[in-house]
Amino acid sequence: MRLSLQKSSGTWSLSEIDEIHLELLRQAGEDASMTEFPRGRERLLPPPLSANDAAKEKEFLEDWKDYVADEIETQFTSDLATLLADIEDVESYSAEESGDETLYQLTLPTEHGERWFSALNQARILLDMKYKFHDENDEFIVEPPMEGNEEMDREERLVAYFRYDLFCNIQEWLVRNVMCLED
Amino acid sequence: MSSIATPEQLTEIEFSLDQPWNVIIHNDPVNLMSYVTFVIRKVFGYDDKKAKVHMLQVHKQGRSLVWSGARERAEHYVRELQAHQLLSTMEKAD
Repeated sequence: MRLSLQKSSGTWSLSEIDEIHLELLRQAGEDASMTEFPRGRERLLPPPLSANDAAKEKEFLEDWKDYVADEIETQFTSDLATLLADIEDVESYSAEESGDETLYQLTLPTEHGERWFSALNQARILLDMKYKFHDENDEFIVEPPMEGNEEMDREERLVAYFRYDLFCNIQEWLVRNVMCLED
Repeated sequence: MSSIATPEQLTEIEFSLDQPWNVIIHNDPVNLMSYVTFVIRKVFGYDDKKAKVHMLQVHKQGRSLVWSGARERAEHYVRELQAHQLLSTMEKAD
């Protein structure tokens, strides 16, 4: 399996996307959902004050939650919607060198690069929390952790990590090649 | 002889300077080092070298004080950092 990323003037593209990669990308929508995941919402929309100051600033924190956090959540939703809409417009083509396998490609405007990054980042942050990929020292946990008395589903966690890794690779490429700042 | 009254009351103007607020970025296991550098440059306008120093401080020490100053500005910066999904808070400077 391979996936190609390329930057052109004003656009960037993903090509050689196979069915599996396409399905993994589509799942970013569900992975990034804060619905019914209050811990994830708390991580993506945290209070702006340290614990020491928070106790003295209840009114400010309420206002922050109602206005600022709400605005940021709208932006996150919009970023995710952009990614999902872009994926819906994917074009298929037949690749001779892959035995006429159907592959897919996307050509996107440069400004979608940061929105894709945001959407994939939301997905990775929540995947990391749901599947406990890292311990408190940020070390990767290989063995599935326990959920109550039962071990977390090993296969489900592995597939989730596969998505996490794919999203991470696309993000690394985006930040280095598309999301460039003037020096 | 006429006299001109001289105001005897002087107005004292007190300047009350608010205590500065620090903006802190906290480490997390997900955000890429390249992205943290990108966001610091974008939000604060720092050059690449300075942004990398802060990024490495976040990575190695768990947090970095990236800016200090007026509260309103600190609120703006925390909002921007959170909109980029970096864990960040503001706190009163000691």
